[in-house]
Amino acid sequence: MPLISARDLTHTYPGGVTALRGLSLELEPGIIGFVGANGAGKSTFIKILLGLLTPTSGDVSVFGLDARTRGLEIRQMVGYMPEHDCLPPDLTATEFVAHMGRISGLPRAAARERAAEMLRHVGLYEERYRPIGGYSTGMKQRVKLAQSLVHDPRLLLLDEPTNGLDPAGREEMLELIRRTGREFGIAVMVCSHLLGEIERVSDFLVAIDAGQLKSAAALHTFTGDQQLLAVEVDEGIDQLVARLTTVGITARVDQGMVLLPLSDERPYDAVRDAAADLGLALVRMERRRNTLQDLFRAPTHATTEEAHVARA
Amino acid sequence: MSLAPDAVAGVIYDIGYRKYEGARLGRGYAFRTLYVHSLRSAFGLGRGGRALWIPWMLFAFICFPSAVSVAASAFTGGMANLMSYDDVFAFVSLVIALFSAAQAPELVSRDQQYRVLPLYFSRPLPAREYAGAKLLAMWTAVVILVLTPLLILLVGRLAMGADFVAAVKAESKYFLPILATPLVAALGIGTPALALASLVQRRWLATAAAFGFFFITVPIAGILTEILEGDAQRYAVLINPIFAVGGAILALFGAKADGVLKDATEHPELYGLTVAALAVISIAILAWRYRRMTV
Repeated sequence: MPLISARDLTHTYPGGVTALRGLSLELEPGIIGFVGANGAGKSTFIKILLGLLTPTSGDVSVFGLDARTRGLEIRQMVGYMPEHDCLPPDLTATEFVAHMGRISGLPRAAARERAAEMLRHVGLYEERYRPIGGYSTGMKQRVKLAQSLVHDPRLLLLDEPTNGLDPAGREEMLELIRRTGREFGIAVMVCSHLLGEIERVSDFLVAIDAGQLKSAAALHTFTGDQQLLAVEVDEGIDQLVARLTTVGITARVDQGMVLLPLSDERPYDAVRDAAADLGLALVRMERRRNTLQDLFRAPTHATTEEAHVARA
Repeated sequence: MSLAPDAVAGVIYDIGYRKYEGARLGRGYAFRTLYVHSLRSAFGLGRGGRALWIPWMLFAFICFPSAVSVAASAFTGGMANLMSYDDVFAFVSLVIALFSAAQAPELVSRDQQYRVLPLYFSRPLPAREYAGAKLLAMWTAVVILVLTPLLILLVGRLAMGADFVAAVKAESKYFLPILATPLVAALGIGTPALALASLVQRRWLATAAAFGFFFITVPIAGILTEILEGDAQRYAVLINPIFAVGGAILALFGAKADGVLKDATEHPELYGLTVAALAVISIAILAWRYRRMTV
């Protein structure tokens, strides 16, 4: 049974804005990175998963429960951290997180105990007895994470969790997310428009754009055969590519660099031989991993080739 | 999964994540929790010292007239007459309205202002139950406010009677109106205050809106009763919710009044219906407001 399953999910708001267009995906537990630009439909998808928004058409389920009819049961097992500020300034973190735990169904004593535990987990100690109004942005983000964890959910939905944090704060938040997913054994869906951040914590990546699925795959499939050899020559790029093709290596050109897939040691020798034979000045050779940004920018072969043609 | 070396050698006070295996209570519990939390915040409890000032000061004002009346009567050995039950609301109605205008935003506006609502709605608490718990808390707060001065008076009367049993008997005809008065006030003043506050995110603006509704209609009703004649004059006073509630309460005690409410005992149904209509319209506004909130 998949954790989250959506089929042909479409949602059009009453105003006429279509946020999701036929989104279909199946997600298994783990840390799921959900990437998309602002307005791509991430928040709409979260609201549909929580059963707070009924999709215009299509099927959607969480833990195998239909989100359209069993939102209440789903919400019992889901923790949600919104993108925006959501904390009352005049309560202390302990009181607020415990209160939210009770709203999720935890008896008073258990809610207090878990609130204290979760705040310790996210790294708030003595500060938790002070009103939230005096907290820094980083501390507030931690409280937001703690309130989403207090009822021990099976799935966490985090909407832009690193929003407004400085670089050190971002690192710490990402580490917390990693721990939550790996050590606590809670499935996590992290929504972000920052691919670079998300790729560091996720097992699985989903990219959406304008309400449509752009790509979805486990992260190791991206990194597995994406080792590349980048070669820079003074001139004669096309000659080099043609020469490599004759020995059975398909190279492509990107920003003045020749890129070859690096599955074994063979390309090194091939490049050396080709450069020597053609008398090219080899400026540099480096191993490189295809960044995910590249993958999402040019997800299909068609567009890669178009780019090729355009440059040639 | 094997632990990373630093996790083993490092922080020993980190006990790791513990699953929660205990009971998970249902929606009724979430409703009760929110109700109690909201009732406490209506009286500024759990919000630090500064939040206590306004509600408790107003509460003291509300208890003051009947407490003074009882004290004066006790001092003079019964020479000074105790105020009558139906007088109490006339004395405290403005403070009750002030309290409602000041504290209703504490219940609903602040959750909107600080955007806490998504945290509630992403939990097993439907928006209509959120609104229900808030309304019940508002009603309870007003009931406490209106009932307390009446009880002070009742206790005073019972204590001062020469024969306790006889005193209970004498006062027993007021028991029902004493219990009904706070409910009428809650419906006619608490409900519109909460509905108005739910429409406004900023607390002080919400207070101003409710305050305006309760107090700007006072002179309007006064002027209209002056310039209008016949039936229209009779209805004009109902524009103000405090007058409507006051009239309905006078009718409950079967008391006669002069001034703007002189009509109340003759046409109690008019006042009763106005209070009911106020409550129904306010509840409809709340329902509409929180149906839209979910999305």
